[in-house]
Amino acid sequence: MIKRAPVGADSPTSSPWPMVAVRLLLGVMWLQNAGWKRPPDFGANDRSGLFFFTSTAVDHPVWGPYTWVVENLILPNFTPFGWTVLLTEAALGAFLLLGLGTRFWALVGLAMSVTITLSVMRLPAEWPYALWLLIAAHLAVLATAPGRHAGLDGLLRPMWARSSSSLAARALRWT
Amino acid sequence: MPSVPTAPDQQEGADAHDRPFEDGDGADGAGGDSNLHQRARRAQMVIAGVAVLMGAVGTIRAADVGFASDRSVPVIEHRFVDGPLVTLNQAGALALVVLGLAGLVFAWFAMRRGLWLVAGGFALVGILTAAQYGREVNLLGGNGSMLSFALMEGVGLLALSFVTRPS
Repeated sequence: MIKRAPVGADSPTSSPWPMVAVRLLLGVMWLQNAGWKRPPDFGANDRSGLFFFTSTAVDHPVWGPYTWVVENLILPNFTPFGWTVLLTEAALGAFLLLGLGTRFWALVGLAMSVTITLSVMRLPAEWPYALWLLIAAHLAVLATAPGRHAGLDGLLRPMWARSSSSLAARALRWT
Repeated sequence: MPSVPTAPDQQEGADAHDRPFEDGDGADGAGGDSNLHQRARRAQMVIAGVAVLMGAVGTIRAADVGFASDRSVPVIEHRFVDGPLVTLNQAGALALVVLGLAGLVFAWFAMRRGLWLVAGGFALVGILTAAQYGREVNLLGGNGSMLSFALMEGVGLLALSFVTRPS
């Protein structure tokens, strides 16, 4: 049986469109922000771009263990980290705009939002609520699965529901 | 004789309008499948159409930029979007237009293999962008946003090709 997606959607007056708009907005945000993650050094040579914002976790610590990870693991190996961030954000933009694997990518986006928060929250002139709202938006997408409406999840789920494979069962859970 | 299992999501007296978040049409038989295929085909055309639109706008905006120049322009740039969204040069714009038009044609005629070819084309655009962005030679003038856009187009067309009936 295909479960209904969002919490609180049982009322005939509820509309999926606000959460579809949130999903699309997050997709555009990640797509656009992938644009300034610039290889090959991602700003390490002149302390700009991604390198600058990542190093703020050391210069303006938010949480000790995360600062230790950034200082000892991430900054010394910045190029592979930069590529991971670029590819992940590109994928986030693509999949959230498509509404494919929406719940899975909302979880990935949530993890990215938490790491961004732990890096930049203590920057001067940073507004912490913007970061909390970013986290909340991903939580809302995770909870309501808006890819099932005006998204590819809604088109592919009937096919997966008919399949007996474990991969299809997993796909149903993460969309 | 075993009873015929009822299709998922079908309940007596249920009205689809009361359940706005209900998945597609469910596995409820030929009529539902046909509707699903039509919707998937429309989605393919929307996805391919977006590529054509981005390429067309990019062609206009990149008029002063060389064909395979390392200079590039953003397709969309507005203060509401906090910076450039998808950069390209004339070669990049042409690639989007050609692939998008091919996608429209293959989607219209429900040619699955054609759509795989187009998805492969977008994959090539993405790989080329990832390999050359930030370097001296950037044939398509793309940035990380272009990589994301190409990924969206390729994955979208590929995934939907498995829903539509091949011609």
